[in-house]
Amino acid sequence: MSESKKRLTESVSALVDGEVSELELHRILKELELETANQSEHNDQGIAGKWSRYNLISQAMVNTPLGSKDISKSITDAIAQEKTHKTNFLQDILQAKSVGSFAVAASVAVIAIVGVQQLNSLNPLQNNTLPAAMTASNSAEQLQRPANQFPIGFQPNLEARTVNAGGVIKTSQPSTKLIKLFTNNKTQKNYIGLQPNPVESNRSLDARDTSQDGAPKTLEDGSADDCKVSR
Amino acid sequence: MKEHNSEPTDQQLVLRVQKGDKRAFDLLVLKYQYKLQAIVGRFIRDTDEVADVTQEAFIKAYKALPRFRGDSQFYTWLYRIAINTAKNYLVSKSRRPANTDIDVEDAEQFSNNEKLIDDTSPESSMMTDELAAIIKSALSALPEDLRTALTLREFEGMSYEDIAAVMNCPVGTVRSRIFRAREFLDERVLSATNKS
Repeated sequence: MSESKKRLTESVSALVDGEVSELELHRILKELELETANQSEHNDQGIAGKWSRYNLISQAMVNTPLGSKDISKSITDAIAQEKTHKTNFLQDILQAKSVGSFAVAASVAVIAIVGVQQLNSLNPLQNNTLPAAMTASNSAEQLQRPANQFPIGFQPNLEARTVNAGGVIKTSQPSTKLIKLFTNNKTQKNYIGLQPNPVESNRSLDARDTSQDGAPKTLEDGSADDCKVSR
Repeated sequence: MKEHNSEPTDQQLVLRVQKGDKRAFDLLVLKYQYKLQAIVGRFIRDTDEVADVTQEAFIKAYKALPRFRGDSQFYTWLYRIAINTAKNYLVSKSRRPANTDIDVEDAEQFSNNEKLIDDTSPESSMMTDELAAIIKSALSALPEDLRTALTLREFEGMSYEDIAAVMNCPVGTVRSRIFRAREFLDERVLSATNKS
């Protein structure tokens, strides 16, 4: 037996035990096709003969009842008359259900992670519990963002500091912010003392509208009571 | 430890057939033809009729294979087709099904049951007994390492990886030992078959 033939036969033995790779199986089937094309009957030393007897031995070792006639040739001939099965794309997907399940699970996990990250970044309560210095700087940054809807061309100089209104700081209660706004020409001065209602603690300057002249004004949805504007 | 199971191989071959590779079905035929004949032989005594019905069962299985989704093991599925085919054959011949009271629906439950093994046809029994005797004799003549590897695989149902761990050797060595053991048994079986 040549070395390549020996390796192939060893692969057949491993196939009996379900321990071959797809590549090995491909080689075995290819060899089987060549064998079938070259001879009408199965050769004893061929792949088909080895495969058949290895399985027979395996079944006989565990006392499996066995028939006695080799009818494989007539069955193979009959199968040759039948049409070849072809799977369509949908069947391939269904057959790869384990791969599909993994893909779905992975997608859900990714969505969940991104969702949690987004939620954390949007949670305003987190900003309210930051130390005063950080809150002040954050407020300044927030005022420069387009979301604050300052008019085009309006670039206020900002000074902001945080003061404690009641003397008792509760982490769940937002600290009071006193923001002093200076316009560019230094002629207008707006002092805005904001006293957020705990219920409306999510409201910040982001929720405020501004007029065209840069003067802040309260929203018209009845939230004016929540903010006291001193000029 | 993994149970001895030919299902990985069957599954690989079934997928190949479903994708249009008829050669893979040839391997399934070569693997199960003797087992299926023994099952059909429980219903039909005539060996020629057994061969015909077994062939019909394989053809039915081939035609139905695109609908096989792998919810049960391939052999269980094939087994049920064989029993149905045998029963239908008897009905078509206006003969009552052979001496069995196992319902088709319950057939797969009995695939490894003693009741079936005890009720095999004389030909099947002779084939199995003769083969078992040859194999037993050949096994005792095997070198120790080859015999251990093969018996751990066939009787204990261990995977190559598990056998490698037990025998303290690489998986490749296990694979080679099992192959050499099978080759040894195969030579004995072949020579016995050729003599008879």
